[in-house]
Amino acid sequence: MDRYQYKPGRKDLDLLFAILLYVVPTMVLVFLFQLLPIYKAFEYSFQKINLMSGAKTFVGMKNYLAAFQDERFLTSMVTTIRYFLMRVPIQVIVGFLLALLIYKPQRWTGFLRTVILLPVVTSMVVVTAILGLMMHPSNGLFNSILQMVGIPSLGFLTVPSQALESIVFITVWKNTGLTMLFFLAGLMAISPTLYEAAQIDGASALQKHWYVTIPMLKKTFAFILITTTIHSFQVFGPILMTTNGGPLNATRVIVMDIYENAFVFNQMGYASALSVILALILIVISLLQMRVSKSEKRGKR
Amino acid sequence: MKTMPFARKTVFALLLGLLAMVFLLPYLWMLGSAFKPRSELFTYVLPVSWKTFIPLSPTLDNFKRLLVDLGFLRNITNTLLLAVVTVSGSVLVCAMTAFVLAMIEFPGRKLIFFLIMFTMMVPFEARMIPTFLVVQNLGLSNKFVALFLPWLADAFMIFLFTNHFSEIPFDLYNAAIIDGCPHYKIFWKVMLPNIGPALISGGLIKFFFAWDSYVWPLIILRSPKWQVIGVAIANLFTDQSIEWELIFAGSLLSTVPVVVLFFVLQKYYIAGMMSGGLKE
Repeated sequence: MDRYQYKPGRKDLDLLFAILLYVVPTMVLVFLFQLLPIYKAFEYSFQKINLMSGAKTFVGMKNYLAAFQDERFLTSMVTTIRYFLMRVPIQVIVGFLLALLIYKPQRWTGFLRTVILLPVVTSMVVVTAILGLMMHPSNGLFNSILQMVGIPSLGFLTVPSQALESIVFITVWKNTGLTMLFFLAGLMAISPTLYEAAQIDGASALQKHWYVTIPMLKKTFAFILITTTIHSFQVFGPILMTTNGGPLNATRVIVMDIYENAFVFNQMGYASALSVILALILIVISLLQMRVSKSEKRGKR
Repeated sequence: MKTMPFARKTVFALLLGLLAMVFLLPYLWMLGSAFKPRSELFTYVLPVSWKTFIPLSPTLDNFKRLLVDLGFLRNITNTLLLAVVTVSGSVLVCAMTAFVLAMIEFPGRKLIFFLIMFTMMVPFEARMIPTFLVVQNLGLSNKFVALFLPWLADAFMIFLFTNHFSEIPFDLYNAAIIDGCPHYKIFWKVMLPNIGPALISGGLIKFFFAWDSYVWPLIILRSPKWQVIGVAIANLFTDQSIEWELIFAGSLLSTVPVVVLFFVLQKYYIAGMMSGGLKE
């Protein structure tokens, strides 16, 4: 790819001006609101902060040591992993099947695609509110439907054994359309000649997907698995809105724990240490993604 | 033999209808309930029938109460302003940087690329607390600018635009130079008009994002002056009140603009999201 070469000197003053004019605003914003907070999280994580007086005392590794002995935090880690283990397979499989269903254009595919994408563009607050009301134990639509087909009522978000599952339902319902879209992008990149060849070899529809679609979508699968995993570790909004971490801490995920430590217990230093731990987890997952996509690229050459 | 495909077709159509219902039912329930008086809301919960979804005596009272008594009008105008400022600001800032990254080679280019990529790895949830403290220390909390400034520089958008700028033939740049066009002018005179669809895609995705604001305004704003519709609806919901009709009406008000935009500009949304998914 060609680029215009900047050579320091009088002649290119005009170009230097353009570079600065167009890059500095972004870099100031990136520095102030992204890099500085990341650095500050690191700095604060070694401090005890009094929000009222603004006093900061250096406490060394104390916050980190406390985190790994803090049962609340460790439980929130387990809860997040449980959430991730439920959400990722469901969202990826449902998204994949939906993509296969509407991949070939037919009269109804455009309509269905729009319908499945509606929750993706609808705001999270609205989705959570409406599904939350649908899950209401006594007046919700879900229990009415269940009772009509003879299934006993469920407690959904109000019962510890169902609350995290209900959050999984809300987030998968909202986001599965996006997964579908990523799979569609991958499917559209597969050359139709591959399917024709499989056809000639006498492959059934199922075999075609098993031997052509899935191997060809390896990179797409990796991308989706990793982004959905990252999203799983970020889950927060729907929980803050519905259960606030309850009932009986059943939905206390990592971000909920960070939020509570910061804004309920006023432990900003400790919350920063937890943020750093979460950031490190997410960075490791991202690096994994880069490795995957890099090795795929090399494989293609 | 001829009836078999027909029977299969019918079953298939029914299954498709059922699938569509999984995604549409909450919308239908919200739509109907938003126009119901409270007395009607809990009467037709069981058994589920058309009365569960269609108001028998439709009313606009819920909207009136929300907009006039509960200050939703202010929340909506705040959110609209926030969305417009966020979209125009971030499209401009991100396109400018993308233009330089895609078309000009200069010392430090790789570093800038890396820094932007790094911000993508640490999402908001992981830096919520320090961002809150930084914005507070800048004296911006409780101010409108605090709502959008942290969201203007957006790595996803920068990479989206960079990809599109990269597809423009480089000869266009040289031609503009030969015509005597200064570099800074090439951006908006020559290059920007060439990535129109990507600008719409990015702007639309950002609009939905801004309209979805909830956690950030909740923690950074203490006074209700600039509060957004997401927080207002969440407050109605968490109050555990039985005023469900208000939650439905508020949700409907918040959903209509988004759905209309999506219907009109769907093509751009899908294109933008898909290219994000393909990017490595």
